[in-house]
Amino acid sequence: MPRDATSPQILRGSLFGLAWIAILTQACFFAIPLLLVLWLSLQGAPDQPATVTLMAWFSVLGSVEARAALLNSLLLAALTALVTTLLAAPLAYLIAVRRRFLGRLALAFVIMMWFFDPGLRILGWMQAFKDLALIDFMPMGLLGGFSAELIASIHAWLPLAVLCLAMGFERVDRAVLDAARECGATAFVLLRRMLWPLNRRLAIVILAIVYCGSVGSFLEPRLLGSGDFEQASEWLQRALESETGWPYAAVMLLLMLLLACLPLFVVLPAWRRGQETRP
Amino acid sequence: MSLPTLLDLRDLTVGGRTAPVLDGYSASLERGALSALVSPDLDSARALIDIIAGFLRPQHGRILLDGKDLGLRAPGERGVMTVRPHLALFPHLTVLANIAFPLEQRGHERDEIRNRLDRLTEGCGIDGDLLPLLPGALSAQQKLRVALARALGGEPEVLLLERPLQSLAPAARRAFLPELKRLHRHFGLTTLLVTDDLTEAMALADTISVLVDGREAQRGTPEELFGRPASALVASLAGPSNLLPVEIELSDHKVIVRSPILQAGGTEIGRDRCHPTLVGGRALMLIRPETVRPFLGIRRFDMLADGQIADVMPRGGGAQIRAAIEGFQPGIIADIPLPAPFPLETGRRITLGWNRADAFLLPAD
Repeated sequence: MPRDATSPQILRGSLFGLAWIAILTQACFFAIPLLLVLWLSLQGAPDQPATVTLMAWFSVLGSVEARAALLNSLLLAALTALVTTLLAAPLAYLIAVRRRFLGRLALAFVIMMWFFDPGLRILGWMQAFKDLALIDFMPMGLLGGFSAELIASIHAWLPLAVLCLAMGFERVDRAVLDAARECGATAFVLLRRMLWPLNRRLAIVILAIVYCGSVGSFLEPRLLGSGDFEQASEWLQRALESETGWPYAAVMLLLMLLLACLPLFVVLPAWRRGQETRP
Repeated sequence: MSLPTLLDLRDLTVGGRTAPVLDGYSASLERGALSALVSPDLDSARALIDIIAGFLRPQHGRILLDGKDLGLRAPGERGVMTVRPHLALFPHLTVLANIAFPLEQRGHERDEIRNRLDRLTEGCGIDGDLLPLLPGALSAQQKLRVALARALGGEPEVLLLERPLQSLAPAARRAFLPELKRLHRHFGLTTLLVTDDLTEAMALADTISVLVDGREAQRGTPEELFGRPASALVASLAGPSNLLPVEIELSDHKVIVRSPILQAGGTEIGRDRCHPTLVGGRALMLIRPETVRPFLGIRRFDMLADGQIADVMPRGGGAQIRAAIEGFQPGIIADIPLPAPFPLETGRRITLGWNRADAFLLPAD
């Protein structure tokens, strides 16, 4: 039987063809380096380079410092993802729903946040506040600790979260929002009962993206100083700077990757549940 | 006896890109009445609904509800609820949560909400089995009932229905019309139906206002709009109509109608069958297809026209034919009951007739 040119089989076939580009890209930029890192993590002492051993794995997993650094990174990433997504929602509401002055103001604010590199912004703050002798006051008194890293990390990820959420909010049928407003819903109710549930899957994805990005957070700890809360990235840097530390660094990299992949186990089931209950 | 006015729209004006969407539109709704606004231009209809509901600010004009200016009041505080063409049900909330939403927002106690929900679901004919379902699982008619129940749950003083039957299939639309009328009687709410379908409005409303180019073209009862339309456009909104170009001469009590299309040289028509603005000269004669019959030499008709059957469209118990008339390109449409007295074949010569009481004279432009 001749197939219709627009039949799903044909479309699926062409999409699969495109998928090869992604697969090749992933192979070059992800799979090959990953194999290299995996190979490195199984290397023994420098005088026995050909030996395959799990020594580096046992050493890193047994190290209190390494475990603490991983936990700190995990905590930072989870808190960053949660707070960023929660903070992004009202800004995204202003941009997507209140399109007039307030919406434009919020959009300008977000774009300005994104206009400069986060590192440059943090350096700029430090320079500006240091000269003004404001560094000891709140909120700059928070510098040199976990809270500073958290604030900087949220600051770095917030624009992405806001714009992604705003795009999702934009796609919600205006008639549905108007109907809710007519029923007496306030802006908060609109956000909580309409926009948020209708964009639940998008919010989960944003949480995952911000989380994955913040697990490997490197710049903020370096610039702000993490105090007693050493991050995995800082531990990694120390290991890489040591001549014999590369296998340990490779193990830490793989552990960080596993941490970053954690949300996949949350996101995918939630996504599927969303598909099943989709009206 | 006329009822007191509840909603008063005064001189509403909204600009458009090329022409005004609303151009000084004024109207009033009587308390408890079901009125309709018919507009072939959906932008004008939507603008009016949005202004009343508080989603659009008019450039000029006022809206008074029970004598109080609605001004810049927020949509949820105007005492107005709307049912939109695509119903805008909350897709992620169950039927129960959809209907309860306005009641919750108005701060009712849980028991009170439960009581009102019972009344609303029963009044709107919503089966209890549907309450835990999401709107996506409902049929179009069930969704419409839920949208109506939700709107009524907002305890509005005025209910706005913007093309509420849009989502239904044509047969279901006709079937739902009596249900809308029943709901209006049951809840006794002041209701404004906004639609582009005059036949739908005529089936439901006591008073109809026709909006053309942002202005009111005519206001009246369904009978007035059907039998004595103010213009050719209003006449055509009520369904298929024959608009024959004629020349008229006016005297005190009668009008003489002449047209090369008609067999007789001149036919007299009463002044009551003539639009009041006509002064003589060119005019259009409106004849509804259901009043046109084939002339078989037995029954007498006041006016006759010769033609040739060009199209035949069977319709239930009858057929609608279009007869091509020399010098009148659109031809004349007639509804012929079946069985027809002769075979309805394309190309067959036919003489069509109608009576002067069924004709109405309109301005030509």
